[in-house]
Amino acid sequence: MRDNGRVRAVLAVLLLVSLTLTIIDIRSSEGALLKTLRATSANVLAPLQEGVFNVVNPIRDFFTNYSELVNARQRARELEAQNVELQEKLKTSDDARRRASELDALLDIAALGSYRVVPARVIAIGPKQDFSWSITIDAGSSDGITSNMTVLNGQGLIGRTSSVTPDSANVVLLIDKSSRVGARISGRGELGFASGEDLPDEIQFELFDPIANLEVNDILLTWGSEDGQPFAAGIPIGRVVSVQSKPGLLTKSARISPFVNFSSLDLVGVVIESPRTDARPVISPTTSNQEPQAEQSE
Amino acid sequence: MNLLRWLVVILSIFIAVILQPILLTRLNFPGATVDLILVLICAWAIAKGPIVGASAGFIAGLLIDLTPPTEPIMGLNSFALVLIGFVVGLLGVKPSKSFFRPLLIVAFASVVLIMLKAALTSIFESPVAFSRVSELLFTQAIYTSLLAVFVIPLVTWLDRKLGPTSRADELRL
Repeated sequence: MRDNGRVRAVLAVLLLVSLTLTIIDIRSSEGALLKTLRATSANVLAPLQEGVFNVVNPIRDFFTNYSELVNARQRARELEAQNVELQEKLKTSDDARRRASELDALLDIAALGSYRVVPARVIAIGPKQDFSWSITIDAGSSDGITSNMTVLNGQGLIGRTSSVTPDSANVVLLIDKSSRVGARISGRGELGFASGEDLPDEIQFELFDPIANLEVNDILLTWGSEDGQPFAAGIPIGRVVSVQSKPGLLTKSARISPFVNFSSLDLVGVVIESPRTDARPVISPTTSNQEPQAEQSE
Repeated sequence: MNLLRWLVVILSIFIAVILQPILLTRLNFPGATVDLILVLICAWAIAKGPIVGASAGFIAGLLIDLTPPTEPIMGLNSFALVLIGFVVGLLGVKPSKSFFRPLLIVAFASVVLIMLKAALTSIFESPVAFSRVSELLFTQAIYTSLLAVFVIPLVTWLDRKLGPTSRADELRL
């Protein structure tokens, strides 16, 4: 019987400590003890993960994919291809080819060339039963990465960086529930918000203008934040799968299938430098001083 | 429970916490990610009873909270895993020669864990869609019980290598 009492005491203590941690974490602000502890542990564990990843990955690749058994030169070639593919996608995503140059100016594509992108590999991926979507990449503050930077790959927008250590960075994926991106329909410029739905292959898009035209197969691009953080402009997000128009609602919404295949992320790029501000055409001449993009950050 | 045994328990959980986001999340099976950490906690709980189960769950929860890439609210993972480890330890107390009983316990634990986490996430962060949970439950129950076929004998073997302990010993920490 005394043993039973001891077992119950241990259970009670462990549960209480857990809940105390929860409450401290919820109530504490940035820089508090627990956040510092987490940052410190990430500093230690991320390099360890990277080390284990580097040991384990070639073995895994050997069995899964021969083309992955490559050296740095091939990775550089992949990156070049990724770059070309991305620019190509931006140029060809409009259905009206003849207006391409006109739209390019509108969508800031001309400015995209001067974005500087840091390549990175995905080290760790969060489990799917976590009800949150995040990854760790092997580039950090020593590569010029800070929090709230755009992460993309050849297919399109992946997400934005959250916490950063010297050698690694966490990325909140586009499909995470907390994710909200300012987006516009390619070619028409209608504005709205794309937000994650906790689903691996679907996000929700809300159009500000309820009577604006929104069609299946329309393509969404990021509309860009001030100084390109957290989101740079003109990056493909996804394609409209279906449009829902609910009477009485102020906005029109659509389901979007993201271009990025979030289950097979490997090589990504982080936008570390947006183009000079004067290289960017101003979309709305009347509000050029107020920066219409500013309201978009989350 | 001597110090060496505790070290082995902690080390095995640490390895699982490091390997899970690197290897297992990349497997891309439909539905949930195979949860090696949970299976390991269950295996220790079945082998060594509720106190070891709850402690293993607590340690695993803290390590998960501190390991990238996830940045959950601290303590919620350990809260759920302490409960799981404790209950599995109680269920495993009855010595059983059955092959399927431990697998059923692990499958049950995985289902409870996902529901607990969905509830805790809904309370502390944002509501979780029911369709997501139901999809995860089914796949996770299958994956974890399959993984338990290998992990439970491994932990039992490891435990035996470390020498005998009486049941009373285990309860006395």
